[in-house]
Amino acid sequence: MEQSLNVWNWYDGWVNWAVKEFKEQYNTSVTTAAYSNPSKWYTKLEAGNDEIDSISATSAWVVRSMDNDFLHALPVDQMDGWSALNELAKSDAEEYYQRDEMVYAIPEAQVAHPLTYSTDYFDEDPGSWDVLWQSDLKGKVSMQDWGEVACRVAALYTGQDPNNPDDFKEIEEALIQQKDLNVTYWKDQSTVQQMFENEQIVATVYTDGRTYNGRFQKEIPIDMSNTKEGFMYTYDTFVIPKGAPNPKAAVAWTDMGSKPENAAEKVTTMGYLPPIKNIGDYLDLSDEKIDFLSWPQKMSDSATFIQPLSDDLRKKFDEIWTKVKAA
Amino acid sequence: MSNAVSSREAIASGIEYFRENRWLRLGLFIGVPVGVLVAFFALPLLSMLWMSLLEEMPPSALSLDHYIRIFTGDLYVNILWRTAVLTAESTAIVVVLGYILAYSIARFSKRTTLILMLIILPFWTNYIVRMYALINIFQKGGVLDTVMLALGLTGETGGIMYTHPAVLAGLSYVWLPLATFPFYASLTNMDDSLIDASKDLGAGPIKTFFRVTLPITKDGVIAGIVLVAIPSFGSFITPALLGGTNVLMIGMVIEQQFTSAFNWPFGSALGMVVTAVVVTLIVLGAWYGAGGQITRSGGDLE
Repeated sequence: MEQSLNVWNWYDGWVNWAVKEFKEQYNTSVTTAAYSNPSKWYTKLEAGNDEIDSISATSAWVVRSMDNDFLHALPVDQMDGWSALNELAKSDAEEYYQRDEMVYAIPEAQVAHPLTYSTDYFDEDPGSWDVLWQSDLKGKVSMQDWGEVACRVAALYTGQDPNNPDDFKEIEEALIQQKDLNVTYWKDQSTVQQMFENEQIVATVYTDGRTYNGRFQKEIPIDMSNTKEGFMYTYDTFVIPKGAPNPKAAVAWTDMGSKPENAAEKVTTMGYLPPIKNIGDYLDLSDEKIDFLSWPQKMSDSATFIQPLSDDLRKKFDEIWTKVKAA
Repeated sequence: MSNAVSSREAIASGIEYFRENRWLRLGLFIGVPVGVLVAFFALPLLSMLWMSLLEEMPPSALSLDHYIRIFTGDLYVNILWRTAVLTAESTAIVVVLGYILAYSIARFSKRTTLILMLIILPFWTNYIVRMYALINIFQKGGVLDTVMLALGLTGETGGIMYTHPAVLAGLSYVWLPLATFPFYASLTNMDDSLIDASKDLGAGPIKTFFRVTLPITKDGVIAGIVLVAIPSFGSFITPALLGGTNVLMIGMVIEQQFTSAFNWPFGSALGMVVTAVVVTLIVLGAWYGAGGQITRSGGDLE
């Protein structure tokens, strides 16, 4: 196996822990890079990668990379992490990350985009995306500055299929109606926790991991809602890009990182949920935390996988979002 | 010994050859900078132009669709206009603040170097870090709130985060040094006796400023305006992090095309439009700086 490895993974807290483990196990030097947007690594793959060995790739970027033949197939049969995936993750991975019986990405975290709300403000789970449209909450809510997420949330709110909506005008009108209720369109995940902490907002679309991190690690009074209209989720996955200079070390890293006992560290270091069966068996956590982390089982009926958008639909969402912001 | 002599002779003959060979001299002194300009400016710009003319991500057919989309509807023209207004506002603030600052340093300060160092100090810090510093200052219960409460200027904490003033303050803070330096350079190059002459002839300080100081430092002011307006026009991080829902600049739309919409050709077309605006600004700046005529020397003083 090669003696060096270059990892691009935005779970920086977990990476710091994993690098030590990997070095001890394989005596390999690991360089790491975090990134703020997947376009950073995707551009490198487009230009012909000769630098990155392993990437934490997310949702549509994985499928796009597969479509463009940028990824190596993974020897998942030899990886404990593959057989340990929970039912939902296994079936999603087989459907979206597999081509010709070859798997190109193994889920490392299950990421939901739920409605997160202030438990100080709401006595109980508001249970509906309606709160982002309630006029009495004007100046107390926020929408994410990401057209795809905003349009999908509006699709859920208006009773449409977020992966294949049919009434774009309704989505646009709903978002324009919602616009003035927002404090801002948030772009950076960490500022959301600050806004909850400062009582600037009481509800927004967020991620389960950041909600867990805020609630249990920073003691911010927030929780994720089981919205009656449903919510979206996706995966961050381990992938090995073509052109990786240290492919064997990358396979070893992927194998180590996806093993249940190592993947479980993602909860303690970052608050994100590895999509493995019986996560509680690998963690010494309170019942309340375990209950929070059980959303894929508890809320599986409400959760809709974020399917990769067709080019036309992505353009449509982008156009709507630009119009809304310019309105 | 003979080796040292022969190498000295080789160097001397090389220098002699260089002096006599005009094409070699031209190649070195003009070819290298031209090569750098072509490789790092012209080719990327041409590449962006080519990308903007593609229908889809490459490989794809050529088309003018993206430019038609920009200029046929109201949407992008409005965004360009709003960007221009915000740029004008922030540039005006920076010019006024920068000129006052430069004037104070040039006329009244003895610790010029120290103050200039302090002005440039923020440039040594990463742009994003500076934005997060501003968030800590502007947010509800932040430094600004604390100071205003302590001074009795406000009775409640609210902060100015996610407002139009926050964006203007952010842009002004970031680009202030870019304007201050050309202002300072033009003020220090000014002959002070002209101010004395103006006063001797009966002009007050305000009249002297507008009739003598400002016209003489006009080139520096124009340079400052151009230096501030160009990056302000393309800003996307500051309005995205500090602004509310009503601050949309063209830079944010371009970023959206590259990072989430996967529509690089359209992003490139918007980028080309911004480039055209910037080039127009530079040409106008050079034109007015040269008193209405563009020459290599910057205009005829007579």
